[in-house]
Amino acid sequence: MVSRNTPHRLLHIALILFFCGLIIFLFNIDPALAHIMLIFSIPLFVIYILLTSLPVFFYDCPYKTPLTFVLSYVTCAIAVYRPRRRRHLRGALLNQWHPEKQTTHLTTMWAQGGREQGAELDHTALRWTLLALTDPNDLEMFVKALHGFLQSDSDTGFTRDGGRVAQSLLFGPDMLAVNLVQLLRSAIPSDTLVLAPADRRRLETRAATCLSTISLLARACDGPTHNAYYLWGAWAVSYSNPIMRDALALWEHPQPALATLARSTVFLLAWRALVAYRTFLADIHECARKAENATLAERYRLTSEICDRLPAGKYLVGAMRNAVRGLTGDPASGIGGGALLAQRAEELAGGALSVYMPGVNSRAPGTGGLGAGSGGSGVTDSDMPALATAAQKDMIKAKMCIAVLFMHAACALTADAAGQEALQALAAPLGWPESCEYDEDPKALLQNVRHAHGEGTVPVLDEDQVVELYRSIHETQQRRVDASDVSFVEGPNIHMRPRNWRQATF
Amino acid sequence: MTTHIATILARSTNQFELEPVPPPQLPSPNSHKAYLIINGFWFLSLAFSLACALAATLVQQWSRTYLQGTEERFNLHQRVRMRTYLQRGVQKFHFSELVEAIPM
Repeated sequence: MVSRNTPHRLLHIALILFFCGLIIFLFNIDPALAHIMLIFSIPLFVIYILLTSLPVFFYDCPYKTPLTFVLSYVTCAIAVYRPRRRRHLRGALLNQWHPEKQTTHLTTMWAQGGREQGAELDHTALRWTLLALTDPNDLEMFVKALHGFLQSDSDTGFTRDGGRVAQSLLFGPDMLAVNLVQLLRSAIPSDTLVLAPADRRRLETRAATCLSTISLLARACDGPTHNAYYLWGAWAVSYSNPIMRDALALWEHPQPALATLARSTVFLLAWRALVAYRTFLADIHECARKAENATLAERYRLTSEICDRLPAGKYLVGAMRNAVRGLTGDPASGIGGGALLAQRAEELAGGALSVYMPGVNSRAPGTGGLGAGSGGSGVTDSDMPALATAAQKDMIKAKMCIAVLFMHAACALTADAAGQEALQALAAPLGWPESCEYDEDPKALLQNVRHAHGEGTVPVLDEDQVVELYRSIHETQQRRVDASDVSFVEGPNIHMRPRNWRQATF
Repeated sequence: MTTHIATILARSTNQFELEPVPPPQLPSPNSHKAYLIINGFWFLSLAFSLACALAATLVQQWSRTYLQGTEERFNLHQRVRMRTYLQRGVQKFHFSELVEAIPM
């Protein structure tokens, strides 16, 4: 490194010396001329100094002069060997200021993976790639790769990194998940008759790729982070609803594998919307309960936080309701299998909390609370106890809703491996502590739902297995992972926790 | 000035005319200003062209460093990270704008 840079360094030193000599010479000839030269060469010199010293402080600065190395060695020496510096700090400082950090140190650091900086770089690279992709075929390859990225090697769950990176990549502020929607839409031809068989097969492959990635996404990561409540509107409008519509369009696809995939995707999307709404309810409940017993200042802070978050609930309710309506058909027509599910979902949507969320029931008047018109957004701190109770009540309803959804899925999914896998995904442990009336006798609920669904349907698993899976949803004990691997592997439950991973950056 | 040279030439060709040579006139205050301006321009152009040459070699070196950083690793993952890192630095410090501002 040193030997390669030496000629450059000498050249630059020579140039600086030449300018110094020229100005001194000109002072002897004519001071006025020397002043003119000085006025113009000082800025050049300052710029040069700046270019030399910037990379010492910013490692990713592309500007560098051959003298940078000299300067960074000097800085390193000053920082490390300054007297009265405590000894144990020296190692860290040596790392921080070492001149060769950029080339070797950084790469070895990222090679170990898992470091936050490395993950952030991966995210940026993926985001740039996704932004640069315009051709649907390239996008399809990306989506296929994403599929492998989300699925971990072990059969227990998802890699935490994969889920998180996908979450921050697709559901960040620029909502890149819209690309998935477009790809899925391009896979559904408007008129299948004019297509050649080869083209149709290609489109079917694309749709299958899309749907399996979407269902994996629904399992592995909950839309935007729950702290980024303002993103839920975009999530519901531009991702959840269109995907739901397109997946429902594939529900009765002639290709049985694709139809199964579409069904399980629809169920997983509905499940995700419901789980997201339940997480939202839990957040509100937590905040409101804390605000009840807090000091005045803290209470005002929490109240304003709740006021900020409540509008997100409107979109979450909308997404959940749309998903369930897509599954069951119009609730007014009383379609057989989904009537109970539709009823439970409407109860949840028009639940106690909907009074505080204006506009929730604007599309279905008469089904829910009527307090929406009276300026419900103005939640004051005196409403906190009522809000906490309302959220608590709705959480019980959410639990009932998910029980019915699970049983509905057990009856509606096809009895092959894909259907079983989807059902197992729906039974991912959630650990919701509320009690619900279906807990005592899940079998009765299953029979009830199946009866409504029609006896002709083949259940995915037999009754006992379904009940066992149902019970596993609400097991409170979580699988503990090894503490050393905690940043890599996650139990299936971990994606339920609110995340705040680098969300300022994304 | 020309008359002065003419007299010198005349003296060298014609040895017999021994006329006293008038000393060259000192530049008047007016022409001193012109002399200053001309020399100032010359030296400034020297300084600017040297600075531009320096900047051009620097830019070349920077791009070479960037390319080396993005291409020299064998591991694809590392290469992606390094490239992203360098590219982000390039964006942060407006490298491309600066390159366009410099005559190459």
